[in-house]
Amino acid sequence: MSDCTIYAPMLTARPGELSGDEASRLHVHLAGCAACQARLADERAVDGLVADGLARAAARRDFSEFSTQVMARLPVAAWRPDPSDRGLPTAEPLGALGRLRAWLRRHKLAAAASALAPALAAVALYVYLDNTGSGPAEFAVDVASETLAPMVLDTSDGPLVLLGEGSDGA
Amino acid sequence: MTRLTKAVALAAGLWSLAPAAAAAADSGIPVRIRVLKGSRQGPPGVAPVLRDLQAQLSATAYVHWEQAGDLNAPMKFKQPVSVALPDGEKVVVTLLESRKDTATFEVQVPSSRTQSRLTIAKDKRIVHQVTAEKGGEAYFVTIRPWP
Repeated sequence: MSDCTIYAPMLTARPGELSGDEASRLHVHLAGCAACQARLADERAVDGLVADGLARAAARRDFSEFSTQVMARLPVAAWRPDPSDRGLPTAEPLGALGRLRAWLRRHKLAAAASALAPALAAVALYVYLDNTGSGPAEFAVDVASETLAPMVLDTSDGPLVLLGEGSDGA
Repeated sequence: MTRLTKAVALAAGLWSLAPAAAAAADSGIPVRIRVLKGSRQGPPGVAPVLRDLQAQLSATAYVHWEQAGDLNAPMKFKQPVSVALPDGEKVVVTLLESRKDTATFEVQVPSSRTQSRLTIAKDKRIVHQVTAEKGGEAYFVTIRPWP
């Protein structure tokens, strides 16, 4: 009896729930316990009944109208967007091109922004490069001489470059 | 669709302006190049035509200033302009690039193997000594973009 209380809950275990050791001990117990064999047979019979019942219930249900019912619950404007067609009781969905045209009609500002975006980006890049570029913006001096000793003074009016005597006295 | 059409037209207009702006930038900029002679001797003073350079000239040890040459013409990019000095030497000035408010010049003095690269703002000017001092005198050039 004590063994059955241990192994009875394992009879309903799903594949993978038991460890290898538990599964082997359950198998040994089942081989010598008629009561647990009977319980296992009952469990399998009930499990099969439930599965069959669910499958039959699903098969009896008719899903052929499902998509129609979903479309009927959507706002009409979402798939018949042309305002000029509002008076027509058509329920035919538009093609991809028709939906694009309808979207453009309803979102003119967004369409205009989409068209302008590349041009504005190009203008912004041009202005940025024109203003900054790779060089310094305000003041930069680089002086080199092989015979004289350059000296640069920064005055309020601009750079002043002086050439002093070089080390060779040139 | 009227608004969309206007937007597309505006974008096309902006796009068409870019090459025109680039072409305008490629034509160069007006530049004034003057040759100056500074002396340590003589009565202190700056020639009236050089008054605009007073702040820079007063920072040197030369007390007497005269103008020895004046060249006022548009410069094209990377096209050297040779400026002759009264002592027979020459200076080569090249406009390397210009942006909205700055210009970059290269000044070369072949005789002393001196080379300068200077970037200045639109309202500034370069004063550059181009000869070594001889007898208390030296020659300078001053460069001003968009004079």
